[in-house]
Amino acid sequence: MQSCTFSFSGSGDVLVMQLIFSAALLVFSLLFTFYGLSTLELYDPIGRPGPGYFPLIIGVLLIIFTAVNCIKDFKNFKDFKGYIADAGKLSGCGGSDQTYFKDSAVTLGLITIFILTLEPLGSILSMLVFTGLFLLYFNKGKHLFNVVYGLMLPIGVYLLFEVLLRAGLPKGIFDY
Amino acid sequence: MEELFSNLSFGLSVALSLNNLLFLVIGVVVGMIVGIFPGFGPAAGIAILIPMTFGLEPTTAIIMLSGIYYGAMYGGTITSILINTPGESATVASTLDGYPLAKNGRAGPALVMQAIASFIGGTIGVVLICAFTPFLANFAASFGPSEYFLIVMLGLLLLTTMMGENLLNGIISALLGFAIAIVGVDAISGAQRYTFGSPELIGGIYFVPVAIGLFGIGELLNCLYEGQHRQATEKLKITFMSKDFWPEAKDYIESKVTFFRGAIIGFIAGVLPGSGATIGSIMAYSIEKKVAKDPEKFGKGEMRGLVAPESANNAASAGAMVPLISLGIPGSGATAVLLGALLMWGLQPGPLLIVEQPDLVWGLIASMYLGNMMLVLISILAIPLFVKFLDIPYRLVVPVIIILCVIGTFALHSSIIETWMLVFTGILGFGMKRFGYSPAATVLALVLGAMAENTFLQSLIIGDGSLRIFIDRPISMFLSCILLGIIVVTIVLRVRKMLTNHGEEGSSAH
Repeated sequence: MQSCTFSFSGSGDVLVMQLIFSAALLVFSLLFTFYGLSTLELYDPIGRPGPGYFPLIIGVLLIIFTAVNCIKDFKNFKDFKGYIADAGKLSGCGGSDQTYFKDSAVTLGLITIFILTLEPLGSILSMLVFTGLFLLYFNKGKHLFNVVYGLMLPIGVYLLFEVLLRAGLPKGIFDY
Repeated sequence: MEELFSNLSFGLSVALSLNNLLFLVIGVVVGMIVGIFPGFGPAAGIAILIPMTFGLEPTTAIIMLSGIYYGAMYGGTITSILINTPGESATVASTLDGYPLAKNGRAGPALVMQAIASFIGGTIGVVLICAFTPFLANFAASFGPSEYFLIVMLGLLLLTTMMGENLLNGIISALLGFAIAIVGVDAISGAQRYTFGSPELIGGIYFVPVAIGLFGIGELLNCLYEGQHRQATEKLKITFMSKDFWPEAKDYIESKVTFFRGAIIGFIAGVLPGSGATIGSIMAYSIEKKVAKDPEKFGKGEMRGLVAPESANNAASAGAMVPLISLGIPGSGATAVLLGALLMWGLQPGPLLIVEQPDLVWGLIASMYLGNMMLVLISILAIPLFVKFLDIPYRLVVPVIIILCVIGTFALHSSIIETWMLVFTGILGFGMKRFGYSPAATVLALVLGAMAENTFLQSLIIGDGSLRIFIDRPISMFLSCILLGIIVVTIVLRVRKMLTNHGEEGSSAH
């Protein structure tokens, strides 16, 4: 196995993710600035700074800094790709630590389902669905524990927010 | 001195009510638990638990939230010592000698000494708060908008420069916070900005869902990404009945000056905006090692190497309260969340708070003293119990955190839009955490955004559009020079580092 002689700040996947993140911030900065410019007045009628003045400063600074970051990340990614092509090898360089992107993505998906069901199903049922699905995926095989924990946690949170704090949680179609 | 004691005794009369004491205990215990779970700092703990304080009196709520803040400093060290995993960044320096002490079979004495050091640091911090807060509040009473704007900028600049390599990312993080803060009605012209016609956005983007998303969901997704949920838990057994649990006389004697030195360094670091407990604890450790006659013992299980950062990080938490209370300017993510909580209750921290709300200010300060007393007892007597929390697999903690985040956010205003904002900022927080941005700078800028904009525009209006206003008055001039100095020094250091790196690469190529 060829050893890695060139140092990068991450593996290929990480660099792509970093580039996407930087690019997303640049796009946000551009949209923020141009939307502000098109909808807000820079000066008020007597020539004093108006509602668009401060957003323009923030927007311009954001564009400059996110663009610099984007260029930096793109260069880093290109250098990495160039090195991989030269070495003819796709592994062994940087980012050797194991990561669990799938687990983060699954959790994010479950949070999305939780929020989507919060109003239609009501707080208790949506919490039960979320906890059940979460434990089914992350705590496989421990059925009895999962059932007990999956019931106690939502009920405990419901009692805390609805009974003790009277937070007014959504009741859903079953009206509880 | 007499005034100091009368203020403190007034504060004690407020803090010693049964209700406040009860919520103080809840706060410090929750804080300790928050500190124990790695990757979860006090900012996340406070943000997630804000919705639960809505039914409380503001003073009680702030006492509880502050309890979480400094309780986390105690809790964070338990994991630093026992499993070499700091519960939060301010306890990183405690791993340097704390873990070797545990490996040498001195986990018990290390845990007791950290509790005592934290208590001494916290107590000295509280005494210094009593002395400095009224002084700074009086001094700040003469500040105009230009001084306030410069202090906000100074805080953000210090916070971002402390990030070292990622200065650019730190600045972007702060600018994102300002951009989010702009949404809503402009305070000066009354015009709607970035509301896209939505009535829910007219009041602006509420800081709590953003803070819970960035610190809570973002941190959690990152911990899952790093596989913390797949790590085996370590079964540890510690009992205070054992003889080996207690420190020896030598430990106290050798550390007697360290307790105080660490506390003073930590307090100063805490008062400086953007510096805080992490920098304070690292500085205290480095200075302790430098002044020691036997520096070679550090890193191998030296008690002074644990006492210094522990005393410092607790004093720094107290120190961070000084600019928060007297200027209304937080220096860290956790104090930014506390400021947001104060604003939520209609309280405006700043020079007038101490005059208009003395029961809140002195009650809070006295509660910190009481909280430290409780924490030293809890830390020592309940260590075996808290160690049990380390037996809980992280994958079982995750659903608790998520449910509290989602239900807590919804409970704020029964708004599903704010709940979705939690998801969006959670993803943003995850990306920020992974790629070296600073969620703390974003929250700080979000909380201070309105103040920064208003003071900036007021300064421009007063100065007829000229930037000279920022150097006209002596304090503004002083603050501008510091700002400029930090920028210049940072750029020079970075250019020097780049040149050195290029030089090294060039010589290795030959």
